[in-house]
Amino acid sequence: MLYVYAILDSKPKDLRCVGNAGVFAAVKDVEECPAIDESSLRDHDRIVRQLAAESHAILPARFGSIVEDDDALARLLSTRASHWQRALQMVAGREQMTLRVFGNRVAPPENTEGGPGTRYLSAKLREIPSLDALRPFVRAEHVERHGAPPLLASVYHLIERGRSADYLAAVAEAPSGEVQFAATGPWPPYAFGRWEQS
Amino acid sequence: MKQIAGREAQQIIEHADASLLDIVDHVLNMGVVITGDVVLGVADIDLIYLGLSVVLCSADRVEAK
Repeated sequence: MLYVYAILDSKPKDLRCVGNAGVFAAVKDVEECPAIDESSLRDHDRIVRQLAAESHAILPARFGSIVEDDDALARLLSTRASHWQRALQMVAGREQMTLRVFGNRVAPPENTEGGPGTRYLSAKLREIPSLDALRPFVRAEHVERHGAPPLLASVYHLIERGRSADYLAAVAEAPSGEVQFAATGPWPPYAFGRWEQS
Repeated sequence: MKQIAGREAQQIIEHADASLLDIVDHVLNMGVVITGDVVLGVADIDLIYLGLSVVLCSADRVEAK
């Protein structure tokens, strides 16, 4: 079986890969899916970060992505080749910052799970003046709202590589109002390149 | 394909610091779905965010602002 770490626009240096034509999957041959424990999760993140550092465009795979063999993986890549190419283009030369939004007053209305609630929250987030300072950095945005106050939302921002220090400085300088922020990064673009964005 | 049990995720969250919870969120909840397999159910994702909320808010990251 193959454990898939990421899809790349170029061949990885140290890992075996499957694919061609600018869409390569970095893989490791395994006997079974790794156990879900702290060391496995940290290993996955560490290897994805290494791959990100040596490639121009990377789409990290979700933890636990197992494919039967090379042929099966090659089919998965080729049947969605145009999707992978578009997704790789979007993240090329870019990385991700993650912004946790805390507060109690911007809670979305109840009973609007899914689309409407998320759209409502996205609209409310756009009304927060302190977020305006981040707009110049943002090339793409993905928002997930949470029903576990005081954590209101996670906002995933795709920024150009090398701008993370400026982004973090802008977050640090943002006035603290009804909502508060905690930013981490840079991350490989974990939140970008999903099926539904094709 | 092997499914990963939510109980294991819960055990990780209960003992995690903020940096590990960020990794859990990105590595388990995000990332490209290549095979169509579901690693964690929705209930487990909610559990992860409950853990994130508790740990991130109790840490000095927010209070330091």
